[in-house]
Amino acid sequence: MMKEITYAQAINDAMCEEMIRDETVFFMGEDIAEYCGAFGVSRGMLEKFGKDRIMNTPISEQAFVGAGIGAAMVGMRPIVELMFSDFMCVCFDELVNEAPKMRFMFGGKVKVPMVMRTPSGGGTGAAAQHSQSLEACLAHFPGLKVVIPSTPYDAKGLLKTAIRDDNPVMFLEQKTLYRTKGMVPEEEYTIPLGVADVKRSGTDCSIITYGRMVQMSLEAAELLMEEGINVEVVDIRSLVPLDHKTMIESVRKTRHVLIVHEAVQFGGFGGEIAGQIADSEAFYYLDAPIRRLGALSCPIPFNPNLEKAVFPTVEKIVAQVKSLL
Amino acid sequence: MIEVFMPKAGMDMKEGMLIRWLKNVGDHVELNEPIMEIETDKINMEAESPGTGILLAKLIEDGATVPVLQTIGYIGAPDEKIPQKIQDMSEITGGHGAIQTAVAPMAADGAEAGNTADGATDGNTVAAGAPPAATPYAKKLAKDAGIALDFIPPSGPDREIRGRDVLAALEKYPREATPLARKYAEVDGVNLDHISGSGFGGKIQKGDVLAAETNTGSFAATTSADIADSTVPSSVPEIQGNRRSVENRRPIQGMRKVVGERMFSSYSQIPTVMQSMRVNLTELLELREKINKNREKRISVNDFVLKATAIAVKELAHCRTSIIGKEYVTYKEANIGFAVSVENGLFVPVIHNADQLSLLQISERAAELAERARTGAILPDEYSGGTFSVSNMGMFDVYEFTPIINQPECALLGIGGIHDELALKDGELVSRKIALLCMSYDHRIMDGVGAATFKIRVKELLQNPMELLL
Amino acid sequence: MSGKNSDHTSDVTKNIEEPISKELKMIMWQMWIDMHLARYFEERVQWLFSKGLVHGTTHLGIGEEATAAGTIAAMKSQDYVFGTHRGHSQAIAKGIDVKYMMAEILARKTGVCKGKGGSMHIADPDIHYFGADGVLGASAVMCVGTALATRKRKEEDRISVVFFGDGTSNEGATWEAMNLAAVWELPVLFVCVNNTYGMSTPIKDVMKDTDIAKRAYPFGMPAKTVDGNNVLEVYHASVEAREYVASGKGPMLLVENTYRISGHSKSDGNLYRTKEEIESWKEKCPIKAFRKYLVENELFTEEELDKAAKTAADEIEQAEEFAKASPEPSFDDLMNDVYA
Repeated sequence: MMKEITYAQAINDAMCEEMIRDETVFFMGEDIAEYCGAFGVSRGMLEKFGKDRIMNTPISEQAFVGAGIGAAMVGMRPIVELMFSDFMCVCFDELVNEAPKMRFMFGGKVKVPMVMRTPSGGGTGAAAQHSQSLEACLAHFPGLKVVIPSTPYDAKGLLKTAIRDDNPVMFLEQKTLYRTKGMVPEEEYTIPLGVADVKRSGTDCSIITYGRMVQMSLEAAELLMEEGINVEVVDIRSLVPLDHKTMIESVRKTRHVLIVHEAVQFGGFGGEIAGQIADSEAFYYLDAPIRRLGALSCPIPFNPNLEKAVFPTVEKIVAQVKSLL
Repeated sequence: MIEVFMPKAGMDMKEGMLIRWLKNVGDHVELNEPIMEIETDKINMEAESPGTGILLAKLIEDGATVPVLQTIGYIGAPDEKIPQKIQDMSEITGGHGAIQTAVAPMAADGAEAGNTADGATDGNTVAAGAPPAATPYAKKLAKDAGIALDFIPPSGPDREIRGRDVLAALEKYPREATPLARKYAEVDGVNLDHISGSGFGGKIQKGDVLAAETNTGSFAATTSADIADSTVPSSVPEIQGNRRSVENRRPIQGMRKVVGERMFSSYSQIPTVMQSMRVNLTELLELREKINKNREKRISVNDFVLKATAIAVKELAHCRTSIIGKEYVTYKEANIGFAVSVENGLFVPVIHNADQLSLLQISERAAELAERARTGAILPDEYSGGTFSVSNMGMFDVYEFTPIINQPECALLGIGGIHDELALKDGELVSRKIALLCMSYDHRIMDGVGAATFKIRVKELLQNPMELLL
Repeated sequence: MSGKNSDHTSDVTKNIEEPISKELKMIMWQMWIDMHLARYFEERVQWLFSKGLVHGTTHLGIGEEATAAGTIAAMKSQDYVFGTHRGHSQAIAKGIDVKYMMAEILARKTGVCKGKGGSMHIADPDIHYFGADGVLGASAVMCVGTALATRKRKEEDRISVVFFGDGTSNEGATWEAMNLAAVWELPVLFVCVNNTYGMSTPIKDVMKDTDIAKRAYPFGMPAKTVDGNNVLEVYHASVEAREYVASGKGPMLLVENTYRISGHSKSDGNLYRTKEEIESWKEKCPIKAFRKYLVENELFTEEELDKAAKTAADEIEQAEEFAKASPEPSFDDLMNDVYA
C-alpha cells in the first residue's frame, strides 16, 4: 500500500518510526518542539514523545551538536537539527574535528551514531547566509557520511537508515522540496546509503545529480525527449558513501555526462564526480568533455531574478546537455 | 606555383617515405631534376622535380611518411607566396616539426592546399603532424576498428572527432575518396561503392579506382615474416633482470608493411575455411622424370600444379569470383598467381590466361617471373590482375598449412611436400607418392562442396597427368 | 599568575578532618602513586622526545599532577571523564595503564589508541575516559552530551567530568556547554586547571578578571577555587563537588590553580617567563608538599614513600621497554576505524 505524503512528512515519519523502534533515539535542536522547527518538519512530535525526547536547545550550535556527539559516544542515537545548513559553520569543530574523528583517534573504541539533519539550499529568497549548499565541505571529511534525498520516498528510507547507522550522518534536506509530494509505502522500508537511483533511464547523456536538482533534471529530460534526446538521470542520493559503479556504468552507456548540483560549481562535489569518471574505465567511452553545472561563484542574492540567475535551471540543464551532443 | 608531391610509383603504393630532400629551400630546381629520395613499399628511388623554379617550401621533413599524391612542397618564383593553409596537413602521418619555408609568414590569400583540402580544417589550430583532437570514445572506436583518425572529419564543437564521426566513417568506409579518385571515378563511370580504399582510414584513392577498372589485385602471401633489418637505436633504456629487454626497434615499412596490411586485412575480413585433400602424384612424378630426362630447363611439380589449377579455374566460374563492394564479380580469365618469396617479403607474379598456355609455356613463364620478382625487375602488370593463386611449400618440407587468401580472390591453393606412402593396390603392397592440396577459401563465395569440386578436378588432372600435356 | 592563586597556600593541613580514616589513607596512597607515575611518565616522555624517539608533539603538565590525581580520586569509576590535551596525569589517574599509554606515545600498535591517536588523543572509552581532545572547548560540549545520556538513562550515580585549562575558559564552546548543562541541570563537573598560562600567554593578558570561578555564576552554577598544588584540598573539594553534581542540582565549576613547570609543548623555549618564576614554583611542587604532609602526620614513612616512588619509576621503565618492543601498526589496519 502506498500513500502520498510530503517530503517534510516523510522525514517526520522516519524520525517518529525510529523513535518508537529505538528508545535511545531522541531529537534536539532550536525551536523544534512547540514551534516544530523552522520548516515545520517536527510537527506533532512533541505531543507524541514529550519534552524528554523532543528537546528545544539554546541557540548554541556548538553545545547541542557537541552534546549530540557526547551522547552518541555513550550509546544514544541523537538526531540534531541545525535550523539552516549554513549554521554548520558555527559548529564546524564539532562536525569536522570531533564527530568523524573520535572513533579513529580512539583506536576504534567508540562509535558516534548521530544524525545531523539540516535544511540546505536556496530558492527561498533567504539570501546569502541561509541558502547555501555546503555538502562538498562535509563530504571532504573521512568519518562523515553525507546524504541528500530528492523525494519523499528517498527521504524516509534514507533517514531511517541514517538513524540506524553507527556513524555520524549529515542529512541535508532540501528546503524547496519540503512541500513536494510523493508516494511512500505504508509498510516499513529502508534504503541503504551509497546506492544511487537511476531516476530516469536514457541512452544519450547521463545527468548525475542529487537533491532538488534531480527534479529539475527530470524536467529537462522531458523537454529534451521532445527533441529526441534521451537523457538518463542518476540521483546519487548519498555523497558519502558514493555509488561509483552506477555512475560509471551510466556514463559508459551514454558516453556523455553532465553533473548538476545546486552548490557553487567551483570546488563543488561535481568536481569529485568528474574526477571519478575521468579516473575510471568510463573515460574511454567519453564522447564529450565531462561537464558540470552548479551555482555561480557568488553569494546567493536576495532578488528573485538574481537568485534564479545564480542557480542551475531547467533551461540551463537543457542547454548544457545539448552542447554536449 | 608548382606543388611537389609524393609520387605514386606503383599500383599498390599507398604512401611513401621521404628519405631525404636533395634540395634546400631557396635552391633553384629544374624540371625532372632529382629533388628528393623516397622509399616506396618496394624500392628506394630518386624522384624528380615536377617543375622549374625555386624550392619555396618543404612541408615535411626527412623521414616522414605521407600518402601518395600528398603535397609536400612548393616550387615557384622567388617572390611567390605559398598558400596560407599549408599548415593544414591533416594527412601527414609523420614529419614532425616546423615547416620550412623560403618566405616570411604567409599572407592571407586564402588559397586551398591543393588536393589535400578534402576534410580540411581551417588550419589555425592543428600543427603539421599533430594528432587530431578526438574524444576518448572516438579514439577507442577507431582503435577497436583498426582505423586511423587522421582522415575522419570532426564534428565536435571544438573541432574534435566524436564517436559518431568514427561510426560514420566506418559506415561509409568504402565511400571516402580523394577528390582525384572521385574525378576519375566520375569520368570512367566507376561506382565508388564497389571499391575498397587503400588510403588511410580506407579512403579511396585514384589508384584504387584505376585498379578497380583493371580488376587488379596482387599481393598474397603465405610464408613467414622476414622483418626489415634497418634498425634504429632504441630510445628506451634496456631493463635488466627477468623482464624482456629490447634488442632493437624498427619501423614497419616498405614491402613488409604492405604484406602485413594485406595479411591482416585478409585474415580479419574473410571467413576463411581450410580444406585439404590427398593427391597421388606417383604417375605425375614418373611422367615428369621422363619429360625432364633430356631437358635443360626442367619442368617442376609446381608447373603441373599451375597448369591443373588454370584448367580447373577456367572450368569453374566460382573460382574466378571476387567480392567487390556489395557484388559478386566473376572474371573471365584464369590468371593464376603464384607466391614467390623475396628478400623482406613476397611477390605473387601472375601468369595471365594460364589455361591457354602449354605446360612448357607455363614453366618458362613461371621461371621468368620468379626471377624478375627476386631481382626487383618485375613490372606492375606482371603481379596484378590475378584471379586465383597458388602457394607451394613442398620444397620447404611443409606437410600441411593454412594459406591466407590473396584479396580479392576467392581462394588460395596450397601444396604441401611430397611423401612416400605404402598402399594396397589390387591386393599388392605398393609405394606411392602423396601430397596434400590445402586450400583456403572464402566461405562467402563458395561452400565446402564448391571448394571440394575444385580440388577434385585438380586432383583428377594431377593423377592423370597426360591430360596436362594435351 | 593570578591574584586569586596567591590567596591560597600550600598548607596541606588546612581543612583536613581528624582522624584520618583507613579509606582516606588508601586514597592518599593511591594519589601518591598516581602523581609519581604522572611525573615519571612525563619526565620519561621528555627524555624520549629529546632523544628523537617521540613522533609529533606532546604537551607535558609537570607540576600539575595534584589536580588530576586529587579530582579523579574523588570520582567513581563509572563517571565519564574528558581530559585535556595536557592529559597524561588525568589518564593515569583515571586508570589507563602507563604501558599502553607509553606505547601510544611511541606510536605502537599496542598503544591505547592503536597508534592512531598519539599523545594528544589518549583515551580509553572502555574505562569511561574520553581523553584528550586537540581542539579546545569541544570536550566541554561533548561532556554535556554524556551527561545528557546518563540523565536519559536515569543513571543517578554517574557524573560527567570535563577538565579544561584557563585558556579554554575563553572558548565560546565552553560557555555554551556551561549554559546548556546548567539550563538542563545536567550532572557535569567542570574542572578548570588554571596553570596560569595559555601556551605562552599569561591569563592576565587575556582576561580582565582572572577569577575564573566567577564565570560560572551567570549560568546559575556554583563554583569553587582551590589550590591545585594541594592534592588533599583538590580531593576534598572534588568530593564535595561530586556530591553536589550527582544530587541532580546541575553542574558545578571547580577551579584548580596550579602552575605548569614544563613548557607548553616540546617546542617551548620558555621565553615568556623567568627562570626565577619557574624555580619558585618548583619549590611549591605538589609532590614535595604532599610528602611533607604524609611524613609529618606519620601517615607513611619516608621509606614507604620512597619505595612507592621507586615502584612507579620501575613501572615507567617497564612501560618504555614494553613500548619499544611493540610493533608499529600495520597498514592493513589503517582504514579500519574510519567508519564503524
